[in-house]
Amino acid sequence: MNYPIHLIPNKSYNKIKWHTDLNNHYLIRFTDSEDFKDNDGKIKVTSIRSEHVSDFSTNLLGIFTVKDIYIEICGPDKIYFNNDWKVGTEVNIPKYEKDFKYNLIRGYFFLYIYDLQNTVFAKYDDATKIALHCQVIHTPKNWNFWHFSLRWFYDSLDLNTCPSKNARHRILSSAKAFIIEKAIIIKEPCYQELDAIHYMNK
Amino acid sequence: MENNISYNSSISQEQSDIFLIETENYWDLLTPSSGYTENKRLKYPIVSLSSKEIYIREKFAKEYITQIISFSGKLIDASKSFFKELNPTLVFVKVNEVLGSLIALEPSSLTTDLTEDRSVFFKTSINGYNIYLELFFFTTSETLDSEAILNIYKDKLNIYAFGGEVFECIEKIKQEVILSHQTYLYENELSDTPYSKQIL
Repeated sequence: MNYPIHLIPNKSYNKIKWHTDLNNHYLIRFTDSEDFKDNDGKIKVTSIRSEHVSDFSTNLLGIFTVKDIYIEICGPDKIYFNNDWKVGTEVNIPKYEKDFKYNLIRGYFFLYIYDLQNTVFAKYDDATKIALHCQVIHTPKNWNFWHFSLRWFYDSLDLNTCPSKNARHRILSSAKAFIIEKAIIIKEPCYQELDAIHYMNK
Repeated sequence: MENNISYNSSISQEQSDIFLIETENYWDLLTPSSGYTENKRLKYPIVSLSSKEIYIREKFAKEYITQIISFSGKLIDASKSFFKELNPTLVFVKVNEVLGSLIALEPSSLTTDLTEDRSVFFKTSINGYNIYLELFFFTTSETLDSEAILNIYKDKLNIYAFGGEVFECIEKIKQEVILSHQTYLYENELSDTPYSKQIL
């Protein structure tokens, strides 16, 4: 079985910089199992693994399609494929069963970029007074050019540089609530490919 | 008061008042300062209130038992893995308090999950507000400290965030969700009355 070549970063690609065109696009995120919905119609908090929240992996829907969500990178070169892609470099193509497999027990949900980008998702009414906002950042990987991350900021600081345990708890907890609130799980949205001008070298 | 008699003429005014006081005392014991009684007193005549209160108590008990059984199972599982350094009895006592307080606010949904961050995550909807309350636990050999983080959403927007003690978070929920909703209802009911139209 061949790897879907449309996911592989191409030497002629650039990293995608933020542009308002992205607002009309959707992100897709996998869950570990298909059983990820609660009775209240929202996703279960247990389907968002805490260790993944600080740099929340998603994929830009368009050239990356819903069926690509089942691809799971595995094997001895997993670290290489999960590494950030360096612009201008060629990457190896994952081989079936050695480097990737299809994990069909996964579930998935969608996020609308307009709902996320630069959205202030919590202003704390306590001693910390911290205000948090979300950013959607293109973080291409060697296995997948369409990989995007949700990152969480207070003032201009990234959560990952946050020294305070209390502030970290607030950010992680608010981020989980935000993802649950914004997740689209009822039906697959109508999506389109991103215009190539945003990632093709001129 | 005339309304009460027309609902059930076999109950005297005195009997109704006594029953009302007993019911309120019971409810206040069950849910201190829930703010519930005041709301119902405004909206329902005494005889109707009493039957309503009985229904609420039964509903509370059913929901509480369901939630406690569900949580206990999850706690037993988690105690073998990511909760194993925590005293399950102390966790149970803390969560029990929160569940009682939240169920008393009559949520339309309520879920409780344990996370790998050694936290308990409550997800509930009350009066159209989505409420997320996460209780992080820190342990020592004898005691269990905790920190609660609260996020409230209305119409997909975060309207309130707070971190502190769990009782503070419960009070904030009452202020933000219950009291503001009562004010909303009061203002809307008033605006529909002929009297308010005359004023306008």
